[in-house]
Amino acid sequence: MSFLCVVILNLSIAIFVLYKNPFKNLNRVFFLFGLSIATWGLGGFLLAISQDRLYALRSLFVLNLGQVFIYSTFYHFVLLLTKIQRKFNKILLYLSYISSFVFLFVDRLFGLVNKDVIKIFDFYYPVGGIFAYPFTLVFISFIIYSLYLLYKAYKYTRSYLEKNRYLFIFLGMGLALLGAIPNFLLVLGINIYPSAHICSLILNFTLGYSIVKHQLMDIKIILRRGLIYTILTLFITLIWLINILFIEKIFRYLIGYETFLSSIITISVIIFLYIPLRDGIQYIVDRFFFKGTYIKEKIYERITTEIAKTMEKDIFLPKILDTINEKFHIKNGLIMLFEEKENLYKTICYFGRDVLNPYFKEDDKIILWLKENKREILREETEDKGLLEALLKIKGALVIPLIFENEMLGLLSFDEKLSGLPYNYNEIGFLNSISKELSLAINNLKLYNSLKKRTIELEEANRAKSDFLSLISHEFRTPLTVIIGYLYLFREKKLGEINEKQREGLKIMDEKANRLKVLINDLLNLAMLEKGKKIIRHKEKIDIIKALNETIEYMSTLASNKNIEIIKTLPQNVIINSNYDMIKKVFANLLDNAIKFNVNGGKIMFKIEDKENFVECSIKDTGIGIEISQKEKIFERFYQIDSSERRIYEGTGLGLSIVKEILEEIGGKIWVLSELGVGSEFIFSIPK
Amino acid sequence: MKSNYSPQRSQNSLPQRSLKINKKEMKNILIVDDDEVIVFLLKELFESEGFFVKTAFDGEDALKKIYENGLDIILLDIRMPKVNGYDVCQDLKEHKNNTPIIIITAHSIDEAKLRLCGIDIKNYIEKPFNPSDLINKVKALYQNKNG
Repeated sequence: MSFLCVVILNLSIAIFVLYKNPFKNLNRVFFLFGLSIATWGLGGFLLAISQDRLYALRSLFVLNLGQVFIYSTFYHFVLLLTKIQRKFNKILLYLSYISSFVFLFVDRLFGLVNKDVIKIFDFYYPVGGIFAYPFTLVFISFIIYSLYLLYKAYKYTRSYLEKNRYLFIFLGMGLALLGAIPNFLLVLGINIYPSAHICSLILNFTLGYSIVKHQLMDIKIILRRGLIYTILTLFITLIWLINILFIEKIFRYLIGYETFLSSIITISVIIFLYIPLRDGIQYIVDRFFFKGTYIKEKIYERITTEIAKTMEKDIFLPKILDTINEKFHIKNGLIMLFEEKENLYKTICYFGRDVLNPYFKEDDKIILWLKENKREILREETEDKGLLEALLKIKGALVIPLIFENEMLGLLSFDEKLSGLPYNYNEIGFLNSISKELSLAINNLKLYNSLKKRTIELEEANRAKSDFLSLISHEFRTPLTVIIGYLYLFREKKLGEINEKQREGLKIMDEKANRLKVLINDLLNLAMLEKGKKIIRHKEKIDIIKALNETIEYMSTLASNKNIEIIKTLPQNVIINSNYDMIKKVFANLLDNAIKFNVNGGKIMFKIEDKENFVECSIKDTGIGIEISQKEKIFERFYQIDSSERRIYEGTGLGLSIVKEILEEIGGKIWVLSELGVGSEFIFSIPK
Repeated sequence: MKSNYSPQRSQNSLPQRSLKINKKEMKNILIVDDDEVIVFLLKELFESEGFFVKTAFDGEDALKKIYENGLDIILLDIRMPKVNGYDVCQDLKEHKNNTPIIIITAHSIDEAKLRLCGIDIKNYIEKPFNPSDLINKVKALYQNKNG
């Protein structure tokens, strides 16, 4: 049965290895090696179950076919693994293969290696021919020489990763060789129970272990499954064996004749045990081969929390590095990010003793490699000199790119661990998933920052506009003061008598100057509103009726020019707590509109109603009216109903928006009722 | 526009009459502004209204003239070289001089600062102003002060 295990294990490992990278020589040779052992195991298995001599002889051939290649493929494998390129070893390699073929031939043709089978311990075993001695000698010497090469490589390599690989293969093969000695003795005629197949299982385990734990030949998680199911198969076989060897016999003893009852019971036991057994094995495999999976979840959680906490990369990146370091205890580590301004990958944060402040250009080899391959670089597996130099520069044993949507944002670099233990695949996978998370966060950050920058730019532009507006209106103020002042002096005849024509001209000038004044004040108010300042300075008890009357009086000339009649429906006086100038401004703007958009000879109706908590004012005109769709828009800045009509109706389009803002500031509101072609009614309320 | 100025003319008659009664009681006004044109305009304006006008072009000069002469009213600009309008107000407050002040400025003002200097926010006039409004305000203040 253990022969069968050897077959399954070796075959599966060999196939996995080949499947992982069928173009790498190392993997191919390992496949051949695995195949040889498997063939040998198969031969052994067939031999063990053969009932007659003829069948046993055929099995013997299969056994030999595998066995003659074991040492040559193993030697080849070791040569490739240790990267020994000496000529002597190469010649030896050819010799080993030639000898393997020679042994195969002489055995097949003349039966000189294993000439016969013999039944010992209830099973058939091969009996050695003349060539059995030289074969054993060659076999053992090649294996020992391979082991010696492994030992040398183990001694001289600096990489802990490689050291561990060599060690495990060395131990595995060494043990297997020790186990094989009884087999050889048996073949040579000395009767000792053969143990090679059991020991070769040990080889399988150590190989498996070094593959999983020390990244031998790039096999990842697929092996974990393989391992679990192999062990599972082993267990089931064991149970089956127990059934055949004991339970069945007990049954036979009890009942007296052969029965399949025991098999049914065993099968049901196996069925019931299957899932808990699988889970149990999975747990054990995880514990021994994939240790740390559990702690990693916690670290992952901590890292994602850090990322979620802040948008400041200077804060969360060092924290992430620290968290990773807490778990892995790494000598040096750093995070590089791409700086668009300088077109460089620059170190953002790092830990460790001797990282200076390295950077990479966009077209550096390492950057190009990472961009192209989109996966991590392991120093252990790198042969390229350019890459090794770059790795040396950042002291990275493991470099992981930060890639988001084909864009390389930066990289993570980690030196060897302080313990000297290499990164296993599980850890690399874990760091990779962290890098994905980081890439996402950094990309978000980039978007966020560019948005923020844009917003600030827009805000600045807007502020500059407001500043300019307020500067311009301030600059207008002093000259206008002088103009209005002197006009007053002229008109009041303080500077001498004036004739009627001059008086007329002065009157028009005064009107226009005042219009300019209103415009400038509107602009200034707008600038202040845009800066978020309040335009109302103080509140006092004022009479709203007085404010209205003053406004109407002030603008009566405008109305009389268009023959507009102003009708007032007002109470005696209404006292409110507000700002006199601002209330006047509201009335003035609304009245100005009512005159401007009215027809010649039209009417304007003022109505003020004193409600309990507020005052409601209404200004109704007989003008062009407003379309329903325009009702909200008229309160927007610089808006006039029809742009083409601007020539007819002068003005900035600021009036209503300022009215609205003033009213909102004092807690009032304004709305409009209108019928196109009939007229509009503006109604506003002010709290008292 | 004409109607706008009409009420002011009727108010004019009252102080003029009081001037006639007591010639010694001249209405002294100090105009402080760093813009000469504004100063001359205001001088013209208030002289035509029967005021005795003194002028200053910066805060330092203004303070000197305030402490030298007994003044009835000060028209004060805020933005000026050497000593600005706020400082003038502050200085006057410290010296317990409570000559009424009207602030005239083309710029927005710091209300809190003005209040600290003891200036009533109502006595603040923005440029460009209506000359009649200013005259009314000055006269009202003068009457308030003198009884």
